[in-house]
Amino acid sequence: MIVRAGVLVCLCVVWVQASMAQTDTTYLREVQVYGLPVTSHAVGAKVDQLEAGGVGTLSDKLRSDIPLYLKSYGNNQLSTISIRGTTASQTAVLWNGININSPTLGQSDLALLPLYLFDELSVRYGGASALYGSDAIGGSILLGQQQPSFIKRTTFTFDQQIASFGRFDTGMKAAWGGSRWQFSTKAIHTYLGNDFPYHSPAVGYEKKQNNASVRNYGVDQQVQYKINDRQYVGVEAMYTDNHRHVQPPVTNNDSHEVLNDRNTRVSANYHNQMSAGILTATAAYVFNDEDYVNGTTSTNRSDQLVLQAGFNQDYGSRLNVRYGLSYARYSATSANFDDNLAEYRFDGYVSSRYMVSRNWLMNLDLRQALYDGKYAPFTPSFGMEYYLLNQETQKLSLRGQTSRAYRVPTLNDRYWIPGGNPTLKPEDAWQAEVGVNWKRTMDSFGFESSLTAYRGWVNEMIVWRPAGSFWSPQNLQNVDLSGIEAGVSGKWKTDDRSLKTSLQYAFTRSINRDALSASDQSTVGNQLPYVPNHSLRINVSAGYKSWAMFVGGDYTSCRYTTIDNVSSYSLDPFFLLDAGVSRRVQWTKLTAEFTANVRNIFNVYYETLENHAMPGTNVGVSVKVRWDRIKN
Amino acid sequence: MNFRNWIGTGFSKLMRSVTVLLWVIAVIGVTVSCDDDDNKPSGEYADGVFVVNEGNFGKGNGNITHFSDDKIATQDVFGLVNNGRALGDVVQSMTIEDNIGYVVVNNSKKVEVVTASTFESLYTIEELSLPRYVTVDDDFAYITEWVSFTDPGRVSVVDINKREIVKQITVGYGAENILEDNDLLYVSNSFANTVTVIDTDSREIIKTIEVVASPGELLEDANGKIWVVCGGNYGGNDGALVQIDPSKSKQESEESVVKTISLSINMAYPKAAISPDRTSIFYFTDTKVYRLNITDTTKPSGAFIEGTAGTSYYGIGIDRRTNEIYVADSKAFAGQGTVYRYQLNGDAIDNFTTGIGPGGFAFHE
Repeated sequence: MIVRAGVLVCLCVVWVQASMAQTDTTYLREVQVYGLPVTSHAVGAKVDQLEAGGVGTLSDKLRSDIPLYLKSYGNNQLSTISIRGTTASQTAVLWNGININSPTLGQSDLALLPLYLFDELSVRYGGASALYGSDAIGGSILLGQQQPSFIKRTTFTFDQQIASFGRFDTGMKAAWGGSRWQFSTKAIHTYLGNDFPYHSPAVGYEKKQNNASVRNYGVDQQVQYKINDRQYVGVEAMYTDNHRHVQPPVTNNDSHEVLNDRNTRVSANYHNQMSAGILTATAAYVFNDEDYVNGTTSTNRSDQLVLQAGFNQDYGSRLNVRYGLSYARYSATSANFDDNLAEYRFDGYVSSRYMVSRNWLMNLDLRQALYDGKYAPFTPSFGMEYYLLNQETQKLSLRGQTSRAYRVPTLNDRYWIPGGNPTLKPEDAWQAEVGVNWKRTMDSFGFESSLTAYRGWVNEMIVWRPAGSFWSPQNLQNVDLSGIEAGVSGKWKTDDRSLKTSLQYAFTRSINRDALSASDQSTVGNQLPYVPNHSLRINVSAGYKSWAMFVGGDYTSCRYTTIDNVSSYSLDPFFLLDAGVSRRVQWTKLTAEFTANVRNIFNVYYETLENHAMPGTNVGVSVKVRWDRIKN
Repeated sequence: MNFRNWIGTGFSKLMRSVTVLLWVIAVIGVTVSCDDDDNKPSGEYADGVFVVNEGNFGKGNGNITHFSDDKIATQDVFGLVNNGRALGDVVQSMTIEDNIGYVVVNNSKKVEVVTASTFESLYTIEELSLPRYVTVDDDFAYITEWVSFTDPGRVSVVDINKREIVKQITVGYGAENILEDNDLLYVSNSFANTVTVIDTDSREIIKTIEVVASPGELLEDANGKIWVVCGGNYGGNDGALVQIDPSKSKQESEESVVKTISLSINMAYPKAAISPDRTSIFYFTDTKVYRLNITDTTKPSGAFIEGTAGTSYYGIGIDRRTNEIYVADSKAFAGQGTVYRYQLNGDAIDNFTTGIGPGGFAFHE
């Protein structure tokens, strides 16, 4: 694969192909692109809206749809993300606007989040602390539920998938809505034996994966009540339970480690569309409970209580301003913390969007956070979009954004015994990006493309190093980020035929700027570990009457696993190809969709984390049944 | 069979032919050259030193670096000789006895046994539980094991002719280093503050000696005394070198400890080396190496070698043939490590690159 980034004229996908995901059965449906409230002040930034709701983990979905890097301990095992060359801790994961990264680890395991329980998923690239607070340095993953519509509608969905290596997924969704009340229930159960065979060069013979089975289930309940035409209240409660045997490295035969994760998330929302503006208030509680079992059990628990209030006001027809305040109490218990470890954080923000003209949009966001009595960096963000062409059939726009972002040191970083360093400063980053989007729409044909270039500077990155008789974190590393993201997509549709293609490419440089110690000069100018230079996704789907088929490809270039970029410790590039076929059958209100798919067709042995096997060719069949009744 | 496998099979067939050919040449070469009475082991790695590179925990990337007398560093000799096989996860230590190398792979729960001079794999001792160190006496290898973080440690006795475990002796928590002296085995219990003494004939524990917290390396000095390097309690600055008298080991009631030298530091890694004349003990913290004379009664006044800021010393060894000190810098496991070489008087010689997390050394006898 020859990809020369400098001269590559590539263009990016704004509509994201609905679900080329490995486990989804709904890949024909196109994503509705509409502004999430949480991204409406993200003018000039790159945002991908993806389809949520399918069977599978958030990690699988992101890996198959967009050229991001997911580092996995195995199939459905612990999985963390890298966006734009940053680390998992520099990615904010938000649920209903609340950062759900673990307060102790500062990151999210994306294999713990069943996509089935969420209606909406989008990825916002680049620094966004002005909107989302801590951690939003490389990018932000926004998870949420549909806004209530209060129409009379009853839907019932059932999903069943059976796949290789003892995989069974069963999901159910039921939703009932009336003019006052709305209820939605979702439940998913997944079991994966994960005893796949693999042939790792480090082992030298075919081996069967041991100690890697996974059992997940999760439920989500939403209730909304419309008080009157202007006001509603809603409550959501989500519980996920994951029991995983921790897949060992290929070199280990005798392993019994287990991770048990139980995550509870509850939020209550109030929405009031007043004449002066829209008032929103949220109270949320998030509880993370993890046991690591290896002979003995060690337990880590953390929780957060969050109260947020925001007010969104229009000043005339051109200016919109949103103000908000947030209060959070974090606490954690572990054998390595003092008892009653807790801290408070306060955030205040103002986000404004100004429409200079029909073709010119500007955005200024400001945020100041206070944690544990200390100021986090003040984070401004400025964005702009300008339409050179703004017609029904053709749109051409230029966009740009620059911002400061930060990451508050985690509770582990500051309070772990031994080694925690309470004097750590937050990680501090600046970034800037420019992009161009072009969209052409004709009767049966549509074409979209986009190109983005960015640069970023991450300073005071926290690194744990030996310090006397234990390890301790320091603000030590400085990293320069730069890259290009390009995508092009086309779609063509007649009465009974359709074709969609999309190609997305990311070139990423994440460069260590300074030596971490005097004897470490050789690492200056090196690429950070686990950041591929080149990443490419190709998705093609075709439909004919009730039939559809799809092909999805993933190319990921070589990744170093060490900061000295030694090739003997690097991971080989890989190209994975998945394909599937499906048929949709409809009887009045009932729709059934049957899918068969093959993943990793070329049976490529690949690793996303050193010496952790990923499965070869595997197959699956699934059925999705949906019953839908709308009353007028 | 897919295309890759097909290519792979063809390639490995070719490689097999090439290997056979190389063997034929090697055998002829050996036959021709081995005409004197030199009974030293022959092979690519018959001289020099092996550096034990722990690797990153859970990544299975530990390996062995060989540094020859000609000053050529060869990385991952085990993989190089054994068709690219990975040695495993957390390579803890290596012991050479009669040209047999016992390589302990802690988190892979095994000991790989190799021919030391060629590094060809001989066999694997499995069914171990977090093994740490090996010592060999006559026909038996004694392997210390942590077992777990909550169970007492143990010593597994392996009959090296039958290649099987014949007995397991439960000792103290965190069974770490092991030293054989006069048909007695000394085992430091690193999660505790004791050294267990085992009789190799009866394979029973005959004494437990109380030392200082976190005992590790065991060294025999010029006077036949045994030194126990104790790391001390976390943050307690109570690391110590404890000298014990092995002549008291058989009497439960007699005090074994001769003297305890407090070091006023903690050693995260209670590893050490002794000079070829067995009169000076070298131990280290993350940035400093210290030297203590066995006749000293107080800690050394200053550092013997001082590393630059950010150094992370992780291992030390002394080549008895060349009188050279080897000090390993793990560089915080972020990439390949470095080994610095010094003369016995502390003069720097040179350095070479190792694998990830160099923490131990094995020298040819």
